Amino acid sequence: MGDDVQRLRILGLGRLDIRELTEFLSPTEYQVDVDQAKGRPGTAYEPGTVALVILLTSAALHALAQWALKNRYKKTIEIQAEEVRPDGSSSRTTIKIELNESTAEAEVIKAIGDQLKIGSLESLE
Amino acid sequence: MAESAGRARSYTDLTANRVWLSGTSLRDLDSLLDIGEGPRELLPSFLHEATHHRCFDTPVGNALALLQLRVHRQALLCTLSQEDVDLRLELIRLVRHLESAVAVLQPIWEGLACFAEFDISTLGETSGISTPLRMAAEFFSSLRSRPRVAVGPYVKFSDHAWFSVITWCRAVTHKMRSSRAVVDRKVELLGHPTQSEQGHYLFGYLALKRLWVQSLGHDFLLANETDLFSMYLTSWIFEDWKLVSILLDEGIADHEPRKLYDRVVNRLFALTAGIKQENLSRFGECIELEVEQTDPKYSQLTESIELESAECGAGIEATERSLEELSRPLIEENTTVAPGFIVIPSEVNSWISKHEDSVIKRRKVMHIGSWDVDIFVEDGKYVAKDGSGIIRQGVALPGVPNISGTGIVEVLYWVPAERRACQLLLNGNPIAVELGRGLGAADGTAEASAAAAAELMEVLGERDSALGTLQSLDELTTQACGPFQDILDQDREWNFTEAANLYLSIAFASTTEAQENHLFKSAAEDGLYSLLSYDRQIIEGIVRIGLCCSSLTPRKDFVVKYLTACGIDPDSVFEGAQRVFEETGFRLLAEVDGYVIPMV
Repeated sequence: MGDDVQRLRILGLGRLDIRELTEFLSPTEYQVDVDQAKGRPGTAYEPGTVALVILLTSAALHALAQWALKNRYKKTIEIQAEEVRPDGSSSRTTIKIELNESTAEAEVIKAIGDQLKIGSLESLE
Repeated sequence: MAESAGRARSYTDLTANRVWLSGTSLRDLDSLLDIGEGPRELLPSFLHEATHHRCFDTPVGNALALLQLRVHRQALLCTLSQEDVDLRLELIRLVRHLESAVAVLQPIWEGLACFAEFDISTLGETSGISTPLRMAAEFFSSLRSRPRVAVGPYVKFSDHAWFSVITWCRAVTHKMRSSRAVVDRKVELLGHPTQSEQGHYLFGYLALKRLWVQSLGHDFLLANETDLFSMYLTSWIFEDWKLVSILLDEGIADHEPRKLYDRVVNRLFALTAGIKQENLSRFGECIELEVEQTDPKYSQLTESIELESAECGAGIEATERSLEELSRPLIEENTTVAPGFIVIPSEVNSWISKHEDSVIKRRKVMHIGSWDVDIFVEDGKYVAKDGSGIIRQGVALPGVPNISGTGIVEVLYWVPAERRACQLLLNGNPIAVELGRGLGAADGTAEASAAAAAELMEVLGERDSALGTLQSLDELTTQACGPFQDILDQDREWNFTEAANLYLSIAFASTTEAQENHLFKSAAEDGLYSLLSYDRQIIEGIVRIGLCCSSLTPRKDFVVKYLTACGIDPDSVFEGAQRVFEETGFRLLAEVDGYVIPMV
């Protein structure tokens, strides 16, 4: 993955989320961060989750939108994420997407873009 | 702390029985100390870890801890006497024995912890509730007073706010289990590849659910009283004194993993036909009385889990012998140590003894959270502050001098006394201890409270540094085992495979050999996801049915409406489950007289 592009680290995902999301992304656009925690022998951890790091491109926004629409029956989707900028700085954010039966992809992209303060899709190219 | 993709994962340490709960913060201090006001989002992790704490605070849990302490003693001896081959071989024997035990038992304690999150419930038709559920009631119930009226024939726990606890259980478990967070946690569980390092969560859980379903055939009471099932299974495995004997004695002499493994297999397979009704009745009478090991009625408890008195006696003796061994000096005065070491035996002996004492004493205390604060003590009174102001103030322990600095405030749960406690520490020394009010415990007089606080201080002692020491001794053990790592690695692989085969064979018991092979292969890669065609609605539907049955009602007409309200097509879920059954012989859902029985 390129270091000169803003990235989005989506936190707390499950295996099914990863499978669904990556269906819409090319392998060069994402990286899966699996929990590598190693405790003392026999330590009883609660089950872990996974993070997905994606390059913040217009294709990625389309992928996020398509994934959200696939889960439209949930009515609301909250994505906990970390924006990682090219200079290495980062900030946590929560993206909230409201969905109903008639929500269109463009609306979801706009909702995500607004919350990430992205001016336009073209600015990501 | 283990990071899980942005969120730290809660855990319980097997040896110290120390819990670390993710998601607590200093701002929760007051709510964690006030009855029932704990932050609700903590509840799933709390139930999970409290279940581990309960499993480890048992004869078998204690035996595992004693075995680990013995491993560490042996590793220290090996390090100090590097040329002694016999010492090293004994170390390897002990390590292999401990690791075999953990591998075969871990799926049960993880399965029970997941069962606590997703399934345990009670309608009050039993005479007691499990320790994790009772603790959760104290922390999260929003109950502020005991009930004024005793209700129903089973209200014998007048001191435990029985009716209120039952009410709480229904209200809170419903709210918790209908939350997106818990739905997602269970969806995730069903997708754990059973061949992965985290596989034991799923195969342990599936096996437990199977044992529960089988038990319904003997006593349908367990359909609603899932908490009773969890209690029984915990006792069946973790109060097995025969297993204690094997862990601490018989199994070590000539490392015989089969003996240990066979004991667990026999116990589990004895339940595959279901829990016997007469055993369950006797067990119910014992939990009502909270029978302790020293109680004359203890034999009734052990009989209810099919243990012979001779087996219990041998297990108790093995435990006592292990404790006695720990009380012996590690190094004799005239011991010759390896070149390069300067050892003062009395200091080493004193250090290891203090460490072991701290580990053993604190095992009955559940750590809920600890945070840095600024502490000021003046004229016997203390004030604890953080950046936002005063956090807590009160009377310091007798003899604490005027002092200030950055210290720690901790919230603990003292299990035997059923009391929450707040402890302040500065430079590792206790500054103050306050006991919280219990849900049902008689708070008694000020003198009684002071006596209880003093008793707790005996248990707590100085700052808990056991976990750090245990980690250092783990590293020492790894180094001391150095030349034998290949053998240990082979063992680990064998142990994991055997455990997976054992639990999955219980989970998929009703299938043909060909079907079982297909299910094993499928689960190895994607848990249950591939069986369900990765269809989110079907997967989530199966999950929601299980959660609905355990927290609302298993009536099918209601379940159907519930799924519809969640935006899920009930027909596709039931059809999906039926398709899996037809293709693989594995039943995800069963229906009896208009009720749904979730098999996963």
